[in-house]
Parts: sequence; structure tokens; C-alpha cells
Amino acid sequence: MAKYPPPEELIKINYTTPVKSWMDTKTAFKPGNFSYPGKPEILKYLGMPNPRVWSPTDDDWQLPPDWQRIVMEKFREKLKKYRSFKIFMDVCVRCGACADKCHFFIGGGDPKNMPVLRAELLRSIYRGEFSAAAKVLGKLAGARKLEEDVIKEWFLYFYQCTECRRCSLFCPYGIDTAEITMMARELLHEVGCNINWILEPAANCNRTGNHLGIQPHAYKDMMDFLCDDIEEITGKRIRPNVNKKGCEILFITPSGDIFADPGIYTYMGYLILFEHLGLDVTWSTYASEGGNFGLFTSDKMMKKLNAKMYAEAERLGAKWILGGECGHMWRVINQYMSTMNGPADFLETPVSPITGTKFDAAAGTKMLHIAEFTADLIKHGKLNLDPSRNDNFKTTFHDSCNPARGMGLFEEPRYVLKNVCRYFYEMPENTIREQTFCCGGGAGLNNEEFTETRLRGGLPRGNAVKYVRDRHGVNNLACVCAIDRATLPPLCDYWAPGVGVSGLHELVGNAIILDGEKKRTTDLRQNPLPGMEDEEE
Amino acid sequence: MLKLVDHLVLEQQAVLDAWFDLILGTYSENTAVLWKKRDDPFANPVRHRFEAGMRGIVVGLGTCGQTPDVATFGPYLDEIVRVRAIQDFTPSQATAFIFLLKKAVRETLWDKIVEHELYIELLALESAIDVLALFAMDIYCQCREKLAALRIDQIKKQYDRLLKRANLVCDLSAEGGEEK
Amino acid sequence: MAAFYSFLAVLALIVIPWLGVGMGMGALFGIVLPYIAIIIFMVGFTMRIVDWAKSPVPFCIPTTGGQQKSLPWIKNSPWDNPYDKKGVFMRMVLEVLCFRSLFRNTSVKLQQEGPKVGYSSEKSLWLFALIFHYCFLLILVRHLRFFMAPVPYPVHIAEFMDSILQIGLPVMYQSDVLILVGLGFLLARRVFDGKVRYISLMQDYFPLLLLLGIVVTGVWMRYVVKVDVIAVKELAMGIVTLHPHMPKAAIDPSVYAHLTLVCALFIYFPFSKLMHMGGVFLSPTRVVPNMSRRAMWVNPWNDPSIKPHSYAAYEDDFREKMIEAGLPVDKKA
Repeated sequence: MAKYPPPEELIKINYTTPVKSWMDTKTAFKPGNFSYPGKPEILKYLGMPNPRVWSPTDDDWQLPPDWQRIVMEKFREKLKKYRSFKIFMDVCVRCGACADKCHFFIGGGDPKNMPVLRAELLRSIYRGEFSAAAKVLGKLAGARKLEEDVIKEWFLYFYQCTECRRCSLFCPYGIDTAEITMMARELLHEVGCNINWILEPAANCNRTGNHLGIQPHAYKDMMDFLCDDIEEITGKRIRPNVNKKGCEILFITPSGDIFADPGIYTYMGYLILFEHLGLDVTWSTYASEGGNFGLFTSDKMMKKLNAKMYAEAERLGAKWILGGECGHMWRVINQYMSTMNGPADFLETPVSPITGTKFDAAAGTKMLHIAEFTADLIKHGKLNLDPSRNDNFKTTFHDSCNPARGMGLFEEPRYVLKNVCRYFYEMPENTIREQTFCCGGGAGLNNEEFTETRLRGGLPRGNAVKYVRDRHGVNNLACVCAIDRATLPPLCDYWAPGVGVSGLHELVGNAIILDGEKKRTTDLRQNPLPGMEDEEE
Repeated sequence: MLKLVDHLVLEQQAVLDAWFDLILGTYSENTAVLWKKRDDPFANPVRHRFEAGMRGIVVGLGTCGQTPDVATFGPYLDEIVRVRAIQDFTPSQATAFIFLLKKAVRETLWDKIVEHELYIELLALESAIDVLALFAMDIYCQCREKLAALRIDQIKKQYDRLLKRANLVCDLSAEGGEEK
Repeated sequence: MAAFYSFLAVLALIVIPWLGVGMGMGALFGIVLPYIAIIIFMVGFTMRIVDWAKSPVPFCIPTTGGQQKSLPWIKNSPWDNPYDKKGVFMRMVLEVLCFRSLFRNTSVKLQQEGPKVGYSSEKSLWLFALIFHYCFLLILVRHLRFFMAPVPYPVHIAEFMDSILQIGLPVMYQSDVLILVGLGFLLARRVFDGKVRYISLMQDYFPLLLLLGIVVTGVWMRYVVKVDVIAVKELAMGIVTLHPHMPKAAIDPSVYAHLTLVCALFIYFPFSKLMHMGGVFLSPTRVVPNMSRRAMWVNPWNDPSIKPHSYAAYEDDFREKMIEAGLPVDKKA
């Protein structure tokens, strides 16, 4: 080959990552790849250790003087308390089956986002501190000492895991990175390294019942506001019960849905559904948050926040609890609630007052998912529906990680969706159901400063959405999770522009024909219904 | 006689492979292994988007004549730039992949160029690629602006309705337009 | 580097007994070491399992891989999302015997894409892992003939099936070839696949090389040196009947190398990732039914002192505002 000047022109870009062991790669904090740390006043309110003003980009993280001992003590305690943790530390064979299952790795390519390596961050310390042989062999055996850099690495990567459990599905031993991440975050709490977007909502949930700290009168006010909108659209005034004693059902849904687009339309959907059925149901301001930010914090916090649900049901004298659309909330209800705060003997197994169906699946927690409730209603023909009102939507369905892999809620929402919409298209099969891809915002990573990394992790989901958009003209992504409703709109906007996001019960609300309602010209978003475009003017 | 761009289209696969390898060289080794896999497009969206975009660019260069236009190349460049815009690269790193195409062309088609003395055409092609780099810069900026806008939107959405409810802001839409 | 050290370690485990036996230490490698190895293995394995089994499973956290059992008219997936012990049993059968999770990777073919060839790499991992594990099992069963007199019928069947192709003399066992293929693939992945190499540690290479060493010495004994099987059986029977003695006929040193490697495997086993054999049966995301909404799952260290922020305190905080908004209150202002 003849000689020619280098065609890369002037760019002398040093891209090639040096081929060195991951233990030698230093953690780099850049704007967009980490979430802001917990504010000292919040830590103080929650009684958590080492409150201080700090930033991950600082050299000195102001850890407590004997932080190594603190971390190792907690490590030991967790190993004693959780068989999962012990087994997951011990049995990994590093087969690599999980490596390309994490959305953050697929979209961003940082090797430490491979689930196996994420766990090795912890395992290397486990070996270095608990195994004599590994201590001697050191790095060859994947063991290392607990140093400040390790804490920094943990902070970055365990707050780049959304606890979606996709890797766990493919692991031959069921090693669950969500479990490992939860443990690691608890270790980090002990030395005061945590993120504000989890702790502040947790503190708010504790005090006001919802993650934004909305006070009860303001909550009621927001509700009235939504009822105004419903009246404008349907001509019917709905007067929902709030904090009312003696109702048959207590309804709890994530508070994100009461004031943020597009969750409010789902909220309106619930109101319309209950009105349509004449359901004896009450809302609560004390337990106005379904989502549980404790799940991302610690088992204690999870228990404390979750306990409000039963406490409120008991105080109000409800017979059973109906739960709205939410992801983490349902993992907590399905897998933790009765263990932590049950048995709730003062409640009864949910029975639909409309169809008489007894929901044995909820016999333990006495808490029913609204998709199950609505699917049962539709199956029995109890809803007066006009699916053509959703004809503006060509819909696909995003399975939220937690109801998918922590519960198995697949058919109920699809059944509802197919009955309230006429155009429904599935995304490719390895991106839905149990193999669903995360929105990138789970486990408390739905904050604004993390957007860049979240979009990176959102690529696999966005790519599948784009595919159905291009192929079937899909313009709406339905989901059953409040975090999804906050995270997916920007994700779609970036990766598949033109696709909006809605909750399942927004579409139900559109389709339900209320008794004596006026002729609707718009949907719940006050966009003209098909064929009604002119009447708007 | 075949022109350079004809050779480019005829041997697009070889050029694409060379180019793809060069682009993967900008990522760490084990990442490259993953993205190299000819997996299905949903398990490996990065490769899928890169391939679609790169093929469009190479074929487009074969037919675009002297000056490439945004309408043709924008969507293809977008496939790649949109991904690299959020992957922890500096702006120059994110868009430099386009120059790697020059290297891929020279390495793959050099024999043909020498044999048929296509040097002038090579210069023209490389100029066209330079233009693409400018387009890529535009798209990169759009993506980053989008990112910033999404962050602002998120904050706005969080507090917008609360402000309205607190009657701290004036809601014009509820009153109807002034001109009515 | 880690691979190289592992290789040296395995090599040492071959050379030492080879030389040692030459120096008249046959009894050390043929009798003492096996006893030590068996004791360490049994005690170590049991202790690890007991340690795991004793650790609490505070929460019911199965990874659900299919539709839950909810409404009667919705078809559930009893094996991927089991709701009872029967379902868990089937899930574990599929997991342990068929490596269900490794097989899970489905790949979708698109019309606009050209034809696709070959396995995706996940499927190849499943296939070769399966080949290796089954061959290993078969070879273990075949070896029982050294430790049992009379040789039980199933062992004969296993031998017969394994040599059904009747190639060569002594007749070649297919499992010998296949296990080499399986191990070779698993090792090659670690060495050549950058992604897997990046995550591999010494304790990943060592067992693979150890097993390869065992297979190679075994093959060497059987097909190349053609060792005195009667003498080997005499040695083995002596060990299992607790009347250990060195056989009169001389045994080729390769047998001692083989035996030492196996002993090394036994000793290493309880302290290594090879314990995944036991761990898989105790993994809380797999062996637990998805039933915690149906019935109570008890956490032994549940702390009843953790109470929610009480309603009374909440109302105290906001009573005025609640009354003003028309919300019912428990205590009047």
C-alpha cells in the first residue's frame, strides 16, 4: 500500500481504553453520570449517619474516621441476615450470561455496568476481608482492600442500577443484582453516601404521606382541580371521598400521579372508573403515596413507609385495599408487605362488590391491583365502554420491571388495554413481559441531574418503541407505573419522537361512558376526539 | 469506467466493516466485543443503529454527487450521533467517527484508487465527508440541546401544576386568548 | 496472568505425584491424600450448605418469569412463576437439568434482515455448559465401577451407552471427547472473548484447567498407557472398604497424577465457586414460590418496633389546614 497522510485528519483522539484490570480503573464522576448527594438536613430528619455538605466530585468525601470498620460491620450483619446476599456473594461462576442484559451496559458500554462486575465490586471486598486464601492471592483472586476509592466506585455504580432484575432472569443461579444493590446502598448509608432524590422523597412520604411533601389541603385542592377538568370534559361532577371512615375500599396510588403530566390523566381515569361503578371507596391523604422510596433506601425505611397503608386501612375501617398503577409499590406489596407489616387480620380478602369475584391471589395482603380489578369488571361486562374514543392512539404496552419480574402481571393490563383501545401493537418479544427493558429511572434514579445516563440506559427501550412507531405508527406507550410516566416521556422524546406516554387507566377513563354524561368532544388531555376536531373551535 | 463512488457502493460491505471496526476502536475492548455481535436489533440496539446509519451514509455518498445535503444524510447521521451524544464523549470525540470513514475508504479501496488513478475523485469524496462532519456537529448540538431541554422540562413538570394551584402564576390558557 | 498461574498450579499437581511415586511415595498419593480429600470435601461441602441453609430468607423474592396466578380465566405460567411447591419443583427441575435460565435468550428475527447463521453466543454457552455438565455426570457414574463390586446394572448401562459407537480399541467413550469439547469451549470463551476475559479471575481458570487436567490424564491412562485396570480397582476398593493397601502389581504414575488432581478438585470444591452445585438449590430468587400476596411469609428478624409516622402525629401537624379544606379529622381543633 502506498503512503498517504493520515486520513483521520487532525484528530488525534486517544480513545483506546487502556487494557487494564477493572480494579485499576479509577472512577470518574462527570456531570450527568451521578445523582446529587443527600442534603444534611434530610439525613438529620431521617436520623441517618454522617450528614454533611459534600459532592461526589470532591476529593475528600468526609467519611467518618473509622468508616472501614463501620462498613465491614454492616457487611457482616447483612450476610447474617440475608441468605440471598451470602449465596450471591459465593456462587457466581462469572459465566457472563448477565453481562449484556443490563440496559445501562447495552446503551453506554461501561464494563462496570455489567451485572456480574457490578456485583464483583462488592464481592472483591467480601473476598479480601472474609477469605484467607483470596487475601493472599490478592488481585489474582479478585480480592482487594476496602479503600476510599472503593466507596466512590460503589456510590457511582450502585446508583447506576435501577434494580430492574433483568439480569436475574438470565442468571443460572438466579443471582439478583437488585438484591446486591440494595445491600450495597445500605452499606453506603452507614458512612453517609446516598442521593437526595431518594432520601428527600422518603422523608416527605414519612411526614406528609407523599413524595413531594404536599400538605393535605393542597392534595385535596389538586384533586378538586382534576375533578373540575373531568366536569369540563364529561359534564359530570365527581365528589370523591377523602379520608372518609367506613368505606368498603381504601384506594392508594402513587402521589406522582396527582400533579405531574401525564400521571394526572391516569388519576382522572381512576376517578371516572370509581364514579362509573358507584364504588364505596375512599382516598387518603395520610397514605397518599403508593410508591415506596424505602425500597431504595433500607429495609427499615421500606417497612416504616409501607406500614402506613395498613395503619390507614385500619383507622378508616376499610375492608380491603385497592392499589393503583405503580411499579415499585407493587414489588413491595407483592413481596414485602405482609412479611413486614402483616398479617392484616382486620381486613378481608378482596371481593369485587360489582362482580362478586373473590380475589384469592390477594388473600394474604388483602391488597388488589387495579388492573386485576378492572380486567375482572370488563370480563363480566360491567363497564360501559367506547373504545373508539381512544382511536387517536395507536398503543403499545411497556411492562414495568417490578410488576413484571417481581409479580408476573402481564395479561391483566393487556386484557384491559385491548378492550379500551382498538389499536394495540406489541413491541418485539425480547423487550416485553419478563424480558422487559427498564425505563432507566427505577430505584430512585429518576432525577433531573441523571438524565444523560438515564437516556443512555433508555436506548434499548427507546429502540423497541421506535421500531413499533416506524412499523405500525404507534404514537402512545401505555404503562402501569408512575416512574414510567415520568421517565418515558423524555426517553421517547429523545429516542422515538412522536410517541407519548399514558397510564392504563387514562385510556380506561377515556373509554368509559358515564351515566348521563354530555357528549365528549375531547379526551382527558383535552385533545379533540377523532371526528371532533372541528367542534373544538 | 467505474468511478470511485461506484467502487464504494460495490464494496460497501468491506468499507462498512472496516469503518465499524474503527468506530468500535473508540470504545473499550470488552464493550466492542458486545457491540460487534450480530445480535438481534433489540438485544443490541447500538450496533443496529450504527449499522443502519453507516450503510445509509455510504450508499448516500455513492449517489449524492458533489455536495451532500442534510435532508439525505441527516437521518442517517442522526442514528449514530444521537447515541454518541449521550455516551460520555467530548463533542469532538462524539462526532469524529465520520472522519474514520476516510480511513476506512482509503484502506479498503486504495488498490482500486491506485489502479484507476482516482485520486481526484478521492479528494472530492473526502471533501464530501468533511461536509458530513459539519452536519454531524449540528446534530450533536441538537441532541445536547434536547438533553438540556428535557432536564428543564422535568423540573418544570414537577412544579408547574403546584405553582398553578398555589395561584402563584397566571394561567392564560384558562382565560382564553386575548384576540377572541 | 491469572490463567497462566492456574496452569502452573495444575501442572504442579501433575508433576509432583508423578515424581513422588517414582520416589516410593505411592501410599501417600494413593491412600493418604484421597482420604484427606474425601474428608475435606464431605465436611466442607456440608458446612457450606448448612451455613447457607441456616441463613434466613427474610423476604419472598422470586424472580418471576411468567404470568402470575390471579384470575381464573387468565392462563398462568406455573413453572416460570410458580405459586406453590409443585411449581417450584418443576422450575428447579428445568433449571438444574436443562439450564432453563441460560436457554432463555430468545432472539427475534426481522423480515428486513438477511438470513442469520449459527447460534448466538448465549445459546452456545447453554449448549456447551450442558454438554460439559452431563458428560461429567456420566463419567462420574462410569467411575463407580472402580468402587463397587459387583458393578451395579445402571453403571453397565451408562458404560454401554457411552461407548455405543464402538470406535477404536479400547472402545472410545463419547463422553471423553465431548467433555473435552465442552471444557475447551468454556476455557476458550474465557481466554478469547474480551468481555468474559475481563471478568475472569484465577478461580475461574483454575477449576477449568484442573478438570481439563483430570480428563487429559484420564484419557492418557486409558488410551495411551492402557493402565492395569485390575490393580487400580484393587487400590480403589481398598479405599472404599476402609482396608487401604497398595496393590501388588505396579500402577503407572499417570494414575497417581489423575488421582491427585481429583483429590485437589475435592479439596478445592467446598471453598470455591464450584459450590454453585449446592447453591442453586438454595437461591432465594428461584426456590421460593411467588406466594407472599396469597399467604404470610415470615421474616425471623422482623422488627416489630418499627412503626409508621402515626396518623395522630400527621393530623397534629396539619389539623387546621385539613379542617379548612373540609377534610374529616379525628380530633377537633
